[in-house]
Amino acid sequence: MIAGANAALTAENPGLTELLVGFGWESISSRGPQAELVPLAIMCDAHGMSLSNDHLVFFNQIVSQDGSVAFAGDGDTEQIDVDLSRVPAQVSKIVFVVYVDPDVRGAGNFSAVRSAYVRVATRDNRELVRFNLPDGEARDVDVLMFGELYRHRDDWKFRALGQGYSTGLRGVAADFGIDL
Amino acid sequence: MPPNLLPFPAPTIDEVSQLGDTDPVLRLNSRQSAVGNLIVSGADLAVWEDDSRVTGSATAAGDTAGTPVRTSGNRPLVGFDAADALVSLRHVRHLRRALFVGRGPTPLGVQLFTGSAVTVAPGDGSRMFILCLSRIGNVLELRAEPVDKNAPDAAILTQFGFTLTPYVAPRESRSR
Repeated sequence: MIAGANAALTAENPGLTELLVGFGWESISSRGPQAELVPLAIMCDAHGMSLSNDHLVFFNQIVSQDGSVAFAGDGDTEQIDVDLSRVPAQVSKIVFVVYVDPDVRGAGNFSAVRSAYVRVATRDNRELVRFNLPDGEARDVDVLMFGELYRHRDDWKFRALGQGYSTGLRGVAADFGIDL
Repeated sequence: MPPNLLPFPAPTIDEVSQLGDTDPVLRLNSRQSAVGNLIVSGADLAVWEDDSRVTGSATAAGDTAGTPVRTSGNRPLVGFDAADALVSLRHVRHLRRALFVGRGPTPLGVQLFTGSAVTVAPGDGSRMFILCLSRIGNVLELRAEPVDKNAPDAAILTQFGFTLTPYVAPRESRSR
């Protein structure tokens, strides 16, 4: 996929309800402090805002309140499971961002990150779509939106994104109405 | 952690301006407990215990004892950066508890990524407050504990059950 492209998931795969969303990247190693990347899933309403602070899933809030989105086990660099059948009706899309943890000792950004990707697979790991984020573009950002699952009529589709923030997690929180 | 599993209600950091006799404890939420750093100002000593019970300490003057806990970002889980003690919240799941002691004229203070802050009461003629940090599931609890103002650091560590883990420096294997 390329940035902005979308792919039908459930329309092309009847009966598909359980998805695995995998994230991966490589960081150029150094002896000094390194950027620490954190995937975050945001469950959004029809206006593109987070339904609540309980509708975020990341390493310290590993399951959404309804149980539909959850951090998963090994494989890729990080994985998030999505059970489409349990996603509340008021959720219009689930946005997957990866942010650089804002450590005060030089948080870093995506400039040292290579080969980043997001992929969507079935629960048994049959890959459906993959978006390889272009290396070297907008790497002075500290948050990247990798992609989103969104409702399209009665189906679910995936869109590759690739836009970045240079305003960090605060920018994301403001745009999605998240109370950090 | 679901709210109904927390041990008892506790105020948030935005509801308490000073931890001490009146408000001895507050609890952060899961996001405040996990983003950026928990910055403790005014501390002379920081002590940590990770989820494997590895324990160590550091001072603002640069002395260390026990065993350091490094994170994948090449930063200490708990340590000093200039005058401030820092907790790497990206790795909060590896922290079990920490303790901060300040004996200088500046009271202990805590600041989060969001800018939310709280101070610790200085105590009185015979007592001082130290700051205890405990992870309960996915949230951090901050507590001001009164101790004898003249108690040496070692006595405070003993009082709170910290036994520093002997540090064995990693070295290359000599086997061929």
